[in-house]
Amino acid sequence: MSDLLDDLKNKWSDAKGGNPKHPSAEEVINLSKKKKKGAVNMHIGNIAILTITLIGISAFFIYVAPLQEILSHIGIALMTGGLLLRILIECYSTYRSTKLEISDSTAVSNEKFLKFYAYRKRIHGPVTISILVAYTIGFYILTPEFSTYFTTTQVVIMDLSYLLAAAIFGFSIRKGIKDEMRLLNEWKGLNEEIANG
Amino acid sequence: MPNNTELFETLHADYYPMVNQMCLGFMKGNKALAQDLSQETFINTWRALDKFKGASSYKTWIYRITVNTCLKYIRDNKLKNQASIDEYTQLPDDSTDTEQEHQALYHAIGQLGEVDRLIIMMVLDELEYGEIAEVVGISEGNLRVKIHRIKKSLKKILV
Repeated sequence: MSDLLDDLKNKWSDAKGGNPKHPSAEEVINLSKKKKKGAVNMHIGNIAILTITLIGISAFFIYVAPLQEILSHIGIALMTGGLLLRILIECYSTYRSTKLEISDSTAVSNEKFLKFYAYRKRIHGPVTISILVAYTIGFYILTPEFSTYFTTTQVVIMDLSYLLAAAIFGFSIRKGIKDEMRLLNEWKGLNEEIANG
Repeated sequence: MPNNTELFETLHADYYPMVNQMCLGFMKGNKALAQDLSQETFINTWRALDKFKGASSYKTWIYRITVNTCLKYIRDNKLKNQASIDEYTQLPDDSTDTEQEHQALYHAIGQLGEVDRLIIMMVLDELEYGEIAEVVGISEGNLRVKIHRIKKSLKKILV
């Protein structure tokens, strides 16, 4: 057995020969800064889109359509509350992702990734679905008061359009959950491989 | 005391061949993927440089980053089950016997499980068992058991 290992060590050492063509340290540093900027912009972009949507909806109900009925106020609270919760979760997720440490030992790093993806699965699954359901209920609760200001056709178009948008969003949630499930299962498998081999 | 940029330049120059070979072994001899993975490893090294506490040598620390980057990279890039790295990387017809021998070695290592692959590469790099155990985060006893089993698997693959 030791002969085999010695032979492999020799081949391995032999294969190492030379310094393959690669980007310089300066190029790697520049690329790292560029990637970091891209990731930060993506997170800020997501949070900005959600915040602008929240401000837009709030402004609409304050200045354009100040609905009067209590039921409508509950609907608005469900819609804006759901969006606000999503923004807070997005901020927390960004913070948590910065805490992942790539220079820990494999077992520790793997455990942290496992916890992170379990958290992401919860966020993309039950939490996001609950927010979507709350938002949907909130939106349809507005229908009775809307129908006093708009024609029936306009209200039906509005309700059906929402249904379409919610369905598209629902599919994207499903895809997100599937991706998170795949990652979570792969990290779990790796954890078992480290622990038991 | 060198600043971070100077230190990184030194680490990059000293350890690039080591990192690239590990990435080649992990990616079953696929040079393009290995180069991309090596670059990702050094991006992570640069980002983690401020957090280096000096508890281990730079070599062990870079091994840790390399191992973790390899495991994360194939998941993030959905490469775990892709045929692109599972397939034997074909060499051109005019490749030398030595090149074919190296490729066969990477191919053999590539048939092991992900963690086993990384462990045996550190063994082949003559890293102390204590250091490998520290990189992986398991006891030295557990590591010895794993290495014994990996050697048996490699023997089967190479026969």
